[in-house]
Amino acid sequence: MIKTLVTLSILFFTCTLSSGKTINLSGYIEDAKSGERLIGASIYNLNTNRGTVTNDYGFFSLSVKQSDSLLTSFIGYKSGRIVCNSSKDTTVIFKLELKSEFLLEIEVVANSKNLKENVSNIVSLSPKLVERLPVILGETDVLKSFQLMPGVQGGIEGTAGMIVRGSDPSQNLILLDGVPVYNVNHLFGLFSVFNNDAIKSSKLYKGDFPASYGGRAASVVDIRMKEGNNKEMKGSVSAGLISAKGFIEGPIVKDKSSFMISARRTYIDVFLYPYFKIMLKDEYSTSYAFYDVNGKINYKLNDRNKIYLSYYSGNDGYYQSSSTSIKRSENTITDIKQKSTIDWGNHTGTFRWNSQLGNKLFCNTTLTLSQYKFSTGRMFDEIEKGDPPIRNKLETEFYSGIFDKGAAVQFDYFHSGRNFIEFGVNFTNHRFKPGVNVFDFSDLEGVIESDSVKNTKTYSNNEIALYFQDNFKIENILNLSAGIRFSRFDTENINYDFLEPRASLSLLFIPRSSLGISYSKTSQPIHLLVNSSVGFPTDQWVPVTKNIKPIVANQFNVSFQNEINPYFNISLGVYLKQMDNLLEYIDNADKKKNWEEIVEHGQGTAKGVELLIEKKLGKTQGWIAYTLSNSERVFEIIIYGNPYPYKYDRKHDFKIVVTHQFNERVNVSASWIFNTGNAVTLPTENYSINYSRHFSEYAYGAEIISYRKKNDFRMPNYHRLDLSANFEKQKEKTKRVFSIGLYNAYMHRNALYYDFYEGRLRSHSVLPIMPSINYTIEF
Amino acid sequence: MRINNLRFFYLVSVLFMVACEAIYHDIEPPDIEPVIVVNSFFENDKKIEVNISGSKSRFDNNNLVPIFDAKPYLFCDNELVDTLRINENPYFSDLLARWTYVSDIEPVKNKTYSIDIKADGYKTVRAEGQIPQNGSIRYIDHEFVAKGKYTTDKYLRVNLELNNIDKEGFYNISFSLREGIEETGYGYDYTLFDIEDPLIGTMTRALHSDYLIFKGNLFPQNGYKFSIDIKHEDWIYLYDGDVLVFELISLSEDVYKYLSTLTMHKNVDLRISDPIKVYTNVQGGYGIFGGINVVKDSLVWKEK
Repeated sequence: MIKTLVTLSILFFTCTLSSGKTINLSGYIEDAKSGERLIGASIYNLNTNRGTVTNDYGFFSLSVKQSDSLLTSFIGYKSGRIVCNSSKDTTVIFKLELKSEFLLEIEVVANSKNLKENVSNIVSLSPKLVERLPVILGETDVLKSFQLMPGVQGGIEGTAGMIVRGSDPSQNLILLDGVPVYNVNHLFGLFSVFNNDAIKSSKLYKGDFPASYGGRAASVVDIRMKEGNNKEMKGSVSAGLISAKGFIEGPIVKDKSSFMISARRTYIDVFLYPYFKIMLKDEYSTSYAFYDVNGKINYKLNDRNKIYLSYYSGNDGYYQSSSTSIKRSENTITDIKQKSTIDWGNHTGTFRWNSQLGNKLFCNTTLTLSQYKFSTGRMFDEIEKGDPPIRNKLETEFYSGIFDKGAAVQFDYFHSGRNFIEFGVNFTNHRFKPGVNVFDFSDLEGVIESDSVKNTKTYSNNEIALYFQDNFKIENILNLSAGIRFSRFDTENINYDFLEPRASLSLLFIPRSSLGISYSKTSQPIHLLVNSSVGFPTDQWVPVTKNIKPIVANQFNVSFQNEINPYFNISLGVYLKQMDNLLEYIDNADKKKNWEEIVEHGQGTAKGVELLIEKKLGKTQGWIAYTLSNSERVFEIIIYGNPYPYKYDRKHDFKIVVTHQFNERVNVSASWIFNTGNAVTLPTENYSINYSRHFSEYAYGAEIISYRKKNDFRMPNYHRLDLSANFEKQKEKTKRVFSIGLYNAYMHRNALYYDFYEGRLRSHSVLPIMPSINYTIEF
Repeated sequence: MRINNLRFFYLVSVLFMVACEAIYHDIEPPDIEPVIVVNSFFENDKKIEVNISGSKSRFDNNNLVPIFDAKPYLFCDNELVDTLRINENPYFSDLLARWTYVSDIEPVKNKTYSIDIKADGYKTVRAEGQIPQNGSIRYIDHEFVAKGKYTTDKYLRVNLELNNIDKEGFYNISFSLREGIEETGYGYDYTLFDIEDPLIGTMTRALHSDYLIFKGNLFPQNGYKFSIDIKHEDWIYLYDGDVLVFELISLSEDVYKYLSTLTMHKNVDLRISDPIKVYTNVQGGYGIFGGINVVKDSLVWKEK
């Protein structure tokens, strides 16, 4: 069953003759071709049955003895085997070679009897896998790929929002190179801002949160950008149905410094412009465009120090305008122009300094900037061309945003192969502008009235965290991670302090089977006020204040996993989550009031069982995921404190994902999703309100609409099949990839929302079927 | 090969066009069984009067009408004290206001009143309430204040005082220009006014505005002085003998919840969010059967 190991690593460490002495072996594990450092690669001492994995920057440290055999391995790479001949503490760089994609030989997993990462709580997806999965409009999307895992669901049809174990999408900490990204949506949520070309690794924590992560209550998505190939220039260009993108990476100084740049832009606006120009002759026009750019450079100061600078910028813009002339009388013509705009985007920047302090201690120092801004505007301009001419021009604008400045220092201490300690400190200053309305009214002579109202206040909050976590292993039988995070959110002269214990225990109780138990407490100093259910950028991020408390969540998990054989893995997990201080609008329409006055705190509970059966090797790979869950909310005012189902409470959630590699040139994928319909509130009744001499101001003849219970009505079950195929052709210097896809292949009309129209109840569906094509040239 | 490519792109284009089309279809509305709707604020020393009607499906185009054959049984501290009789109030043309059920019982404090209502075609409903303890309101004085340089910026400021406010209680304050038509009890003419108060808040009272309701713990003590500003366009029409009435209405908790959710229900934008469900204390039905306690003071206007 187990095939011989292939040793392809290059060793740098020296040999002396002093057998039996324990030395410390530290260093990095890298991709042999590109020099990219590998996150989570393992190095394992076959003599002592002890090992460790590389940290987020590819660093490891392990105690070994002379003559010990070491195995290095990483998913998708050929394993390497070496014998240690060093007699003193040594720093090394292991280089692993990528497997041929078609070379799906059985991986030698000598440590398969050992404890592995808890797949029930932690999901890693490689960019290669993400590329293969079928997606809407051909835009590969890491967040949508996570939606195919158990316990993770999409929000509204086709959108990139993630509901993790019954929590709101705003409770996901989405990090790009360690910086939070606030709005992760392009095209009103149809896909995420993360360009797969620029991604090196992505990891989702549904539970078992390490103490180093904080600031969100439900999950962490940690996306790391590629560093840039430091051996040779590589790149790709690609064009799909709605966008084109390019990617290039290469050395600035070989083996010393490299860069990576990726860029993507839609051409929807290019298609729309001539249509409106020719067909409607400027009377009506609408357009939409987005772009995103990722860039990163790194510089190796010496063998122990490396610095990185990374940047992300993305923006979406939409506008609609119309222009008409109305003849009001023989001598009077009125020109009317109207324009609406929506604009939103994120910009992030990171400076990182990796430093190896001795053979066991690794330090990562980070400075970050993150900006999110949103604006919307409307203009109405009416000019009556009479004598004298009259002009009425009204302009309104709404803008909001967040600007974060952060600094963090983290230490990773590899005490031994059994004991790995993380500790550090984070500081972030958030500046919130929850929303400002600007109003201008002008005539022919200029602005005659101008006003800025509502929420002109800027909130400045500080988030400080100290954390410590010890990951302890006992003879490959028991893993214990115990951590504590102290979080302080200071705002408006008030401090919110939280001690957040994090603990997980994994026990290998029979070979290849483990049982895990974990507990996490998390807190969140910001809220997202959701204006609509469609994930529009009009949703507002707001801070905690003296009136608005942070979200606090407690999560408890029990899981079981079993590696049936090297091909199949099965895991079963149970979770229970309690969320406090959730925030909801109680009154959306009263725009005169400050947001703090129209929101209410509430609670939520979520519980569920998750099953994952994976086939990880062979020509045909894939998984089956099933979640049985329940998620409820309680808000005192909304239905007088009675619990009601969360709108994305889906009792059953079932997914099958299959990929098949026919040969080196062709691979196909399919995914089928089935879940219980969303819980919606249908106001189906009318009745009269009270007639009273005291409270009768609008009672006469008034009817109100009502419903029996909130979210009591279930939409029909949701299901859809997505297909994709990739055809690859290797030429002398380039590789061509032609991809086709079909979203919702059997055209099932899944209901997006219901409305009442002329006394009828109607179900609306979009995206009945969506084909996609994509052509990529890699060089 | 080229023709095949063209066919392929043609197919993709057609599918893409199909995909861009939003589709809707009618779905069968859920069956909604109508329930009894009870509407009554009963107050101290006034006879109990109850509107009884039925709810209807939103897909039913008929008007809401009273239930004429209801049997409302009134209990006081769980003892049957009356069966309400239907009564026509000729001052109203609207059917729901015109037909009410009345009793000769005048409720008092510290007793629990409940009502059971039976009607053919409906499930029996039940509700109960109490009259809350009263506070007090006192007119202190009034003055004119100029808020700008124009005549219309001259406001009539009325200074008032609240007393005996229970921290656990719920209250509404309202101001009316004159007493109205006592026979109907529905003729109050409400005045528009502004409040700029650090505790009560800043609001411009307008027609169809929110109810000015608050909890007793709003005030640090059981008494509180504040003022209201009446606009020029309203006070200019005051004549000798007109009466400005200032009411403090103590609300039972049920009534407070009913009014606060009713205000939210009115303000919610249904295009972007679910409706707010109006609170009800009627078991098995909708509406409110709750006690209030009204105290008042007044200013008889004299032209200087």
